[in-house]
Amino acid sequence: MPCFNSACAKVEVDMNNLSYLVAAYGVFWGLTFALVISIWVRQRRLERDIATLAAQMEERQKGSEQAEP
Amino acid sequence: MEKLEQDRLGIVLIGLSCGAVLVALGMVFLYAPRESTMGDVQRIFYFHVASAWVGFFAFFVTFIGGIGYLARGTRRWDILAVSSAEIGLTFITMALITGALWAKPAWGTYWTWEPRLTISAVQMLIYVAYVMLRTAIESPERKARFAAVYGIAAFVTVPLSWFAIRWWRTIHPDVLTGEGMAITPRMVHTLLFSIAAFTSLYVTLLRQRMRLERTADALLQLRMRKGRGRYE
Repeated sequence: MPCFNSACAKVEVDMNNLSYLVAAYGVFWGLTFALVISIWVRQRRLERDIATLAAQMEERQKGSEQAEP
Repeated sequence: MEKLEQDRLGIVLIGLSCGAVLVALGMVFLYAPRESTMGDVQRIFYFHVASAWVGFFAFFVTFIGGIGYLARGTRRWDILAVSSAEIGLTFITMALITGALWAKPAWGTYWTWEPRLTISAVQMLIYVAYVMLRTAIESPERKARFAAVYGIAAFVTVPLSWFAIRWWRTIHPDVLTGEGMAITPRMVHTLLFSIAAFTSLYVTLLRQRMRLERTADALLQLRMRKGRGRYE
């Protein structure tokens, strides 16, 4: 139902302001999650690289031990 | 066993900081009263101030890390400095964006070139350059030394930003004096709790980010050992 009095105008202004409030808290959560995910992804990638490298070196070590008489 | 204990501490820290941030969020919306002039949009203030505080504190830790590296020359100080700078940059960006979102309904514009905002924008760019400087230098020792000097020099932006609202004419509200807004005791409680919650989140993130840097060092050492062809 359309409303033309000052109380309705106040509610409309508040609703517009709420969008800024939602956007600000969205920015907070968005940037926090982006940082957490970025750290987690880099950590996992490094740990995977370490595991791969360690396995390769172990294989090489075994190979050289078998080659020795 | 030591590693297991460290992981337990990490999990406890993550739980504590997440819980504290959620309680702070609850206080912002359920405990703090509605500000009479600005209405609900004033609730941005609590997380805006807390993120700016964490940004400043993180840059202070980078400053200390830089001094520590130049004095001792050990990698742990450099790890502390770079980890803190990255987190500080995220939180200062957060403070700038949330500040702009608060300014629009409060001042009628997202941005104005007044002293506090201008210094904050320059500060953010200076720390973006800090991160870029580190990626541009190959030698680890040179990188750490340059970054330490840069991190110490860049810290001047923190007191400059802090005192900007006192030294120059500005429209930015002063949180300490309450100038520019009407603050009630409940608002003060919510603000202080939000700052404490964000500080605990900073400590948790710093710990994880430092762990990442140490893992990168371990990988580098392993690569060097592989290159030398010896593996004990």
